[in-house]
Amino acid sequence: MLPANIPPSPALRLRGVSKAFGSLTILDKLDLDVAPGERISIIGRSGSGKTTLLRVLMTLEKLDAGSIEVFGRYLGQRPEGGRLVPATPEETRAVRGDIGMVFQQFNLFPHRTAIENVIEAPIHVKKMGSKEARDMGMALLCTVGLADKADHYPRQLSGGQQQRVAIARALAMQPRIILFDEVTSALDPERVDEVLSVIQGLAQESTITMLIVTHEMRFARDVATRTIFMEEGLIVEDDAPAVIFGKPNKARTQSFLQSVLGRGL
Amino acid sequence: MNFDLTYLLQIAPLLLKGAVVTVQATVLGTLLAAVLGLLLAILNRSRLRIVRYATTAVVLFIRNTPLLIQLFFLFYILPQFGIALPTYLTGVIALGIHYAAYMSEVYRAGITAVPRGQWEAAHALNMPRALVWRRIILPQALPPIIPPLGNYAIAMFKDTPVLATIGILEMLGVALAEANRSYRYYEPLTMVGILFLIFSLFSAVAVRLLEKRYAAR
Repeated sequence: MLPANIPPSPALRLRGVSKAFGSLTILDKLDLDVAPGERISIIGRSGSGKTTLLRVLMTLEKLDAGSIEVFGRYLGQRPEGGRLVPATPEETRAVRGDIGMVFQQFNLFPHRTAIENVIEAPIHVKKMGSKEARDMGMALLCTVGLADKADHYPRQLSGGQQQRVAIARALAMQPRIILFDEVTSALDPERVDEVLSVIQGLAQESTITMLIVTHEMRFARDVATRTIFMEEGLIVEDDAPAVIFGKPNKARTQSFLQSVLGRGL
Repeated sequence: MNFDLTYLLQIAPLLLKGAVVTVQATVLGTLLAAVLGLLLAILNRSRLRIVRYATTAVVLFIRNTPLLIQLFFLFYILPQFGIALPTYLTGVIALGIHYAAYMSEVYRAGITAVPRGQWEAAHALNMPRALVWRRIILPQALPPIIPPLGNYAIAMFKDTPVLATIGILEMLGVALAEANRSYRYYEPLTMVGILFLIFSLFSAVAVRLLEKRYAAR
């Protein structure tokens, strides 16, 4: 048994995370701790580093400096002789398996049906049996309200439906942390709610840790347990959604929210 | 000089035998080129810069030297280094390597056409790279490039007469041998030309059908 006074390792621990593209600094020595089960909405202007933050967590971008720990294990790096050295691809994959991601452009596999998209990785990465995978996949498609579209190809689905399949696909790998990268930005306005309500449902029914980059301010406030406002690669304000959207402490947060909200939520 | 139809019919079986060798060499050469070309294209996407540079250099080198010289190199020079292959195999390998360089460029175009988001989605599902290639990228990259690959197979077919230069009795080789024996060039060479035309036209039609089939996707 673990001693009761040792806190569980955080879902994420970022220290000095930095990323630049050429001379442009996108993430500027970022520190961030995320407890298991937290749902963090990340808001800020385009180019503030929100998406890049998710991309370095998904190891789609390499860090220039700093470290990321996922449930106590270094991501993409390994301590050796008192410092961190690049990890092997296998080591990185072992840690990365805790994280899933949903993309702005869905990125479904066009040559596979909805259900095949969902069960591709469970079968071929996790070596799950095909019957078991199919049952799980159908249950997930059911959760996102698309059981009847299981055998449709992505091109036969609307944007909102494709994005819901993409959410089911990410969940099928049973990540402990899921990253949502502007998942409604590519959708027609009337398709936004069906995707947001799926994520809301997920938030209510699971304890999965979520990082949600979004421009939907009402959603950012309602779905999250914590909200981060980013600007120029820095976390400007990090507080409860009620504080950020009600009475933010930083002038920069205020001015951002005024510019995007105008008359309010 | 008269065109002697009787003589032509007399040598036709011989020429057809040569045609079989030609087609065989083309098929084997195409298979080799298709596999090697894909390998080159995949190595060209390696995460190691040295591997990328090396494959680019190899492709550049092969594409910018004549097939005939490559063939002579394999046939006359490799044995001096102790690598003596059967003549026919040497011919097939020369065709395969030469066209692998061209096909690798076609593969590369197909691979590049797969959106980056596909790689990223596969990465986010924690798929290892080999699996991403096999299950996600190639199934999308290959269908559209089957017609251009087919065109290179036809081009290779029309290049097979170079094999006559190292003594392989394909169509031209047979025709030349026959001409040397009878001192008649008119009929054998005409026949060879016609046979090439017929085979090429049929293959071109086949490629057009493939184009239609895969363009519909």
